[in-house]
Amino acid sequence: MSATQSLQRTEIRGRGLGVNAGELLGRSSVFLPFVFVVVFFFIPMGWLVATSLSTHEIGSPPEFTGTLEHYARFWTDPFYLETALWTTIKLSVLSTVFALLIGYVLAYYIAELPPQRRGLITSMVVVSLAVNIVIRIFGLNVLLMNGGLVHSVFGLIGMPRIRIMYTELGVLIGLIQIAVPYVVLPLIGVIAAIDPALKEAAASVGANRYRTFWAVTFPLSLPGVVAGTLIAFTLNAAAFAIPALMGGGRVRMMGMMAYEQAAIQGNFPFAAAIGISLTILSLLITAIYLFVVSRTFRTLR
Amino acid sequence: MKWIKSRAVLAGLIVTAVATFGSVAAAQQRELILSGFGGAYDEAMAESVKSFEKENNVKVTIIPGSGANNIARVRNKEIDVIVSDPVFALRMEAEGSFAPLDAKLIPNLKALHPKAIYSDAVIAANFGAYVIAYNPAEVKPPESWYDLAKPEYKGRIALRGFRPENIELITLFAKLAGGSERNPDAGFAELAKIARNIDVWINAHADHLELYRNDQIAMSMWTDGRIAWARDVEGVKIQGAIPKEGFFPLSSTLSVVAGRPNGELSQKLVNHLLSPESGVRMAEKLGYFPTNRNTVLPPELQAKLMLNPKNIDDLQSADWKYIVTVYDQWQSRWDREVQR
Amino acid sequence: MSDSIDIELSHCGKRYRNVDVLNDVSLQIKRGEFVTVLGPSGCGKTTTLRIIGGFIIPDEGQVTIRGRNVTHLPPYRRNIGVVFQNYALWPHMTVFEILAFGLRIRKLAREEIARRVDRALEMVRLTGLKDRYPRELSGGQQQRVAMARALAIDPEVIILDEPLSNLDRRLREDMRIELKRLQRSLGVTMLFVTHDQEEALSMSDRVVVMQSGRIQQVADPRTVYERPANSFVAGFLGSANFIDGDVLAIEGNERGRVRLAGGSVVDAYAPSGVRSGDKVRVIVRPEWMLLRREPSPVAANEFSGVVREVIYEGAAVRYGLSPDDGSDTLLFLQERSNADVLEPGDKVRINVSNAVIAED
Repeated sequence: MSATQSLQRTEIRGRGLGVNAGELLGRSSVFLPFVFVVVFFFIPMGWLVATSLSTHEIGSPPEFTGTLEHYARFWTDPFYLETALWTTIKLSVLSTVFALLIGYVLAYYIAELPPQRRGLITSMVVVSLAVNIVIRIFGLNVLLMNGGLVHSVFGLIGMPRIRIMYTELGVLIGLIQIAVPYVVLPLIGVIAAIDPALKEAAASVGANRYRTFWAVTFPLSLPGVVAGTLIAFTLNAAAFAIPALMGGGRVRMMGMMAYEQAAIQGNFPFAAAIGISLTILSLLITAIYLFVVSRTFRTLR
Repeated sequence: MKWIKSRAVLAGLIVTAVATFGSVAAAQQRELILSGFGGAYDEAMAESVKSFEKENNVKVTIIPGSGANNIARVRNKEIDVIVSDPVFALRMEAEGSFAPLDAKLIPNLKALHPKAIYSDAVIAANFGAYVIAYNPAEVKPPESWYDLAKPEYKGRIALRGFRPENIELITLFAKLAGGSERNPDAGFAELAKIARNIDVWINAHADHLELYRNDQIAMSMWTDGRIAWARDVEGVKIQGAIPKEGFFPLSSTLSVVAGRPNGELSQKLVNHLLSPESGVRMAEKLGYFPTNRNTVLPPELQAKLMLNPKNIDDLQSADWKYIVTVYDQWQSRWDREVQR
Repeated sequence: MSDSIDIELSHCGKRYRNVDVLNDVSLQIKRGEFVTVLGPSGCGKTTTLRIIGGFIIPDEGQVTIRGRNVTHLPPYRRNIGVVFQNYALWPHMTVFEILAFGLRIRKLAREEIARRVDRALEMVRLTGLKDRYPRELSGGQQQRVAMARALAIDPEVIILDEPLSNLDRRLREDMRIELKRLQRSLGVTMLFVTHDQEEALSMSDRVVVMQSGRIQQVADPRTVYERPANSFVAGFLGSANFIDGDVLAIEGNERGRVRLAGGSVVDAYAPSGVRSGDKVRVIVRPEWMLLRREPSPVAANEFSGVVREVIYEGAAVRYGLSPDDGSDTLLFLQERSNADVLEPGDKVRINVSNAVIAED
């Protein structure tokens, strides 16, 4: 029977119980997921904010005093600003940009294939999501380490064998690799949904393939671009496995710092302050990004 | 509304039954929660406590713990005995989380080597030795900690970041230059020099191993137990050398958490873990040297360890009670002056 | 209409996976002509249009526009205006931008662009809607914007892919008149594709009937309707009865006498190639037959029959008749006069005023 019918039946039975079970069922189907979000996200976040405003002293557990010392410690220290903050912004933005370049090309190519041929290449792009991050990093290590595969290729083509693993470049490559599938997936659907007649119409009035792309295809694919880049950016801004395992201890990103402070050094309030700062930073950058894009491209309005 | 009523009654019955059975079961057997390091360490302890469980009619549950996870557990009084390291243990003691160790309940305390006693509530059950690990096919055996700063090793060294063993190294360098824990500038300066030779600041033992296996580094600081594992089990070319200035302990400390129901039993468990039988087993399984001076290791076993009754006095140990109070400042200095 | 040829297809063929979508298609369209390609779905009319537009490259044959061989040129190098079936208006652009797009590509000055856009909008009677987005326009308005876009670039030729099929009936009829008026006043060559025969007949200078990838007939609407080349064309462009017969004699002027299966003899149009004695099919449209109710002396081009079915349609009555000659074909004819409506079973005389011998 249809959903409405079963709901009506529940209502009738419910009336017999003296309570409108049908209405409860309807409301609870929204209410329960909402409760889930509140309990498992907002409450822990609230605790985190409270912790970030607590004291940290040897000899006593954290006490909530509303102190801003941990935020001040991070934000007024040029060392942290130059390393952690700047590195986080730089690498998350750069990795997103490169992931967009690579991902858009891949998504475009996949979208142009007939639906039955898309499966293989899409899985190749997306299979990395199914692999555990530590394993992926080991794989990248084999590729990028001194004397590894990439270095052999460099040697063959006469390029200098610059260090990649355990440098910012290595972390960047790892972050791009993480981000590409997240950019490709939403884009495939969006690009494939663009009516081919729109492109033909552009060609019919004289637009070559380059012009057609920038005037028609790209603007219409923007919702997918925004979705993919936002996911990639927020994921990478909070990255800690990649900088921790591929950064060699020298590449400091805020997500990794928060983890280290919490799990290794045991300074929960400082860790919380870094974490909350990172969240606010990501939200800020996201807001600026959306504002600029919606101003420039009307397809998002 | 009959069906609601009967459902409620049924539910109530079930809950009561479970609670009754549960409390009956609990009343019959006591349980101690022992927090370990995870992995091989916990397995070794599990074997060791079997006899304790039988003798005392108690169940010892071993859970893996790590770093700050332990802090949370201790504060929430979820565990009875904790295996940890001096940094964390002394911090927790300062918060008043531990019960003092009672010599009446822990007779083995008297037999401990002095270097194993950190405070009334924190003692070491066994020691690993931090020495200089090196690849004998690449470099000559190093003789001094200062060798790590030699220019010919540029890019061929690894260290582990701001960890207890490096804190010990800073203290040692400071002392050798006439300073101390309270005046560590010379120590930081020397580490900054070494930092220029560092290829990677490592995190995990597996990474450490791979760096040797892939010939990325030639020298590092590692425990004798791990060096033996890398060489004998994993087949990597590696040896350990004790520098002339001395070497550092990897301390596995034991402490009793205060405010738990089975306090006396917990102290007895500590005693058991300090016993010679326990010590021999840890030496066998993990290559750790027992801190109980009454423990006699069979000669073949002793031959495998770098620590022995003769050189144990050469272990350098910083004033951890003081260092715990300046830990955050030292970490700041480390980030800025050394690990860049 | 001048005599110069604007579009020429010669022997074009196109195959998709062993199926011939187009087979040896040749066509010439003169400057200023309004030509419709008509046929059922799958006949190849859209493929033909897309080959002319440059969206498909034929496997064989050539496409020439105003003397230029454009067979392998992409659409943006041919100066063709295209009106798409679903209009294909870019949703993120205003009407002005849509029309200006092609002009900007041609690097025209801003004032020129503004002028041309206004002119195009005037032609389709949409002035004042410059700043609207496609989603804010009605179906008919969208269709006219699509038209204006094609006009704005001043193309040599405009091709239209069933542009009126998505409109409701009334609007469609209005647009037909508009389109024709526009084409006449501008003198631009138009190639129109449709499956609607009423559209084809009412708008075109010439009709190209296609079926199964081949051209069946090319002629002006009247010829295509009254002198269908074969059974398919006859059946597609209206109703038709098909009667078998033998050719008795061929007279000059493409006329012939055919004895129908039942024995009656009728005069028919005989295309060249038909010889006396040939076995042929004769096409008789319902409106080419008259009923006479009274028995009367036997006249030429007549035979008797019995009414079997009566379908009253208001403005006309359709009768299904059985000829007396024993053949089992049921003939349909229409009467639009004020004569009484007959009953099944009535005997009648059927007069055939026109008949065509099919070429197949």
